[in-house]
Amino acid sequence: MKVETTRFGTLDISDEEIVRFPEGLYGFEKETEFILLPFNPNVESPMEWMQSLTSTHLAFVVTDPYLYAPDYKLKLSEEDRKRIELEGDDLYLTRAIVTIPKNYSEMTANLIAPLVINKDKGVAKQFVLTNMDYDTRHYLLPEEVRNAPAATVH
Amino acid sequence: MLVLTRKIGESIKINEDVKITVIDVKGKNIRLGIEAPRETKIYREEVFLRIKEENKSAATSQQFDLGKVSQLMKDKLK
Repeated sequence: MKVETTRFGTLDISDEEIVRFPEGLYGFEKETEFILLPFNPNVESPMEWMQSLTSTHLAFVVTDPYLYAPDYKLKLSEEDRKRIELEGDDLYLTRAIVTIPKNYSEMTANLIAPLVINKDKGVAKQFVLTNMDYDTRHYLLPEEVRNAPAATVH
Repeated sequence: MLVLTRKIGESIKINEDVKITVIDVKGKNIRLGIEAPRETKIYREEVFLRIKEENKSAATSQQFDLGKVSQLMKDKLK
């Protein structure tokens, strides 16, 4: 199946690659199909793109929250598991949406609303954590890196 | 919307297993105690608004230098 995208041009994707969010994302309720793509084909990266298959221009940057919050906890209840059709040995991925401001060293990840993706069935949901340890803007880089002038975009 | 009046110490029950008690009232602040089964998800409503806003910020924060961001993140990937 061919999909047009603003950032990546025309993509030829197979059905198994599609990540379905039946409820969409918060604020993007009509965006129900995405695909995960390498962040930068030339560099190994902890980040990925999540491109919408509905809106050509819409792509989120996502990352693995466990890399940036070592004690990050996500417990899926029975109900949560059902929502993403998780059963048996199904594997799931946890991803956090990244916001990259003008000074990109101050990029943040939304740790309170992780995306949980059932890898085997391609069904996903943006969950909202009930514990208040994390918020929508968790810095990915430590303070000394954020304040380093070299990282500032002029 | 169902509207009920409660005094401090009084409760409402939702279904068999959720109980919400008015603990205290101070000026404009009301403290509520909530008893519910462990799996019940209880949120302050504003969190959903913040998440919507953040998703929108994330969706529009894409005008960055891919090479520079990649390099910075790679340095941190150990």
